[in-house]
Amino acid sequence: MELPLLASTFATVFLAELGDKTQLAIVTISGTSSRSGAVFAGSSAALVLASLLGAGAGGSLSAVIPPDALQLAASVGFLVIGTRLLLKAGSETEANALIAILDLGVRAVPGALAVSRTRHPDRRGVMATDAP
Amino acid sequence: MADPSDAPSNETPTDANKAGSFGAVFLTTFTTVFLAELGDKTQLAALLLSAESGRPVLVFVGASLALISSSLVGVLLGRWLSRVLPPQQLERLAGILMIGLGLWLGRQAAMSMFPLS
Repeated sequence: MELPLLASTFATVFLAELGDKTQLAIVTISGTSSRSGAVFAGSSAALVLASLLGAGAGGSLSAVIPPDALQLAASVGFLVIGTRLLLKAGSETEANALIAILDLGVRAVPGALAVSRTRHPDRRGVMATDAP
Repeated sequence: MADPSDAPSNETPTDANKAGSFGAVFLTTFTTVFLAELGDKTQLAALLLSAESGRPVLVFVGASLALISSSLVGVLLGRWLSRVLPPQQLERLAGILMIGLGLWLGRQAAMSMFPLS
């Protein structure tokens, strides 16, 4: 009874984890840093702690902080790491172009909001004024 | 953030910039992986398996071994890639991959936080 459960857990989790976003993140960090030992130690510790929460306490941290907020924090972290890597790769062509596009996107959001506000029928913005 | 026990004087500034101290790399990896893994399908599977079997310790050991193996595969893949690809190209690829992962994770989180009305 002991060994089959151990083996089935191992197989389930190992197969589910191959090619997962976590593994891609580990490939990324290990490929761009020369300290693969530190990457292995850090990722192993994080994964063991996460599986402790899963198997044991049933996600005690996710009971305190909503998992969606944690995922959002992780996504911001990924975006920051990705942008930094692109900046480091730094050849003044594609990376800068991508950042310029992202920058333009960020600037475009308030602009689009302003436009949609002026087009609102309740408000008389520039778009609503009648031409003589 | 930098580990004082790590003798930064051994590294030239450009080396230190690229490598980082053991403690810094460890912390970055730990935080990234831990946050990405919480609420993930793997953790839900471990939760289910442990509830179903009533043997949380065995499930914990099995899941930990599997996750350590998969992270070893990831580290080895990364090391191999860093030998095959020129570093600049690898960094650009990795940056695009990370931004993609970030957007995907953010979309998932946003969709469950604010379901489409």
